[in-house]
Amino acid sequence: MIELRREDFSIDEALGRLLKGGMGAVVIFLGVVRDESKGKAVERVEIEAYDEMAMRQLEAIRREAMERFGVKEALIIHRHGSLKASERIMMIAVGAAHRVEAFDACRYIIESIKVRVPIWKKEITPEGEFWVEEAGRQG
Amino acid sequence: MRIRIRYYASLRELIGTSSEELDLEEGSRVGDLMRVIMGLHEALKGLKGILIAVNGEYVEMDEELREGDLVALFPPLSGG
Repeated sequence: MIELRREDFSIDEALGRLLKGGMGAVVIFLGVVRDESKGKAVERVEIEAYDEMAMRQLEAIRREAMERFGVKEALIIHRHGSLKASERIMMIAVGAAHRVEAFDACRYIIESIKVRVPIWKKEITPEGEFWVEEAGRQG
Repeated sequence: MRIRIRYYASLRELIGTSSEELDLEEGSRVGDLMRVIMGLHEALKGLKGILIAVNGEYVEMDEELREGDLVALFPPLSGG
């Protein structure tokens, strides 16, 4: 239920793996490449990951979300490599009995990824290349 | 003891290498290693928010290092 991959993914295929009995709500979050950043046009982003650690952190976050909010299943797919504007970067899907815990768990997962998973984005613009460095556990 | 170091993202570009190995005295801690690294790589001096992981887990400066440890240094994150 955790993937770090270069290729795009199918939302339907991922949902097929997520769905199981007892679910009455599924929340999906998609992160996409924004075509502008701080007033600059973004042509593409280069996404780099510390693969082994990122996979471990993603799995830890998934388990925490499932235990903390009592949801039935959670799936996280994050891409790396070169992605053009509007391409999908990541997908989180959470299935639960009811919507409240599904939304809460999904929010927990994305906010945790931002501060714990070693993945970095470099924006390629006509004015140059810029690393985005937003957050960190000790920062 | 031999310690393996990996640099990621902007740190790798700043110092121009993705990995190196350093010899430290037995009993050295992450803070000792950081002083050696800062002495070797002028470009890292003054940078704020560098994150440190040993063998894939976040650590504090007082964490003791062991022979063969893999230490990763990286900038603030931007996944998701």
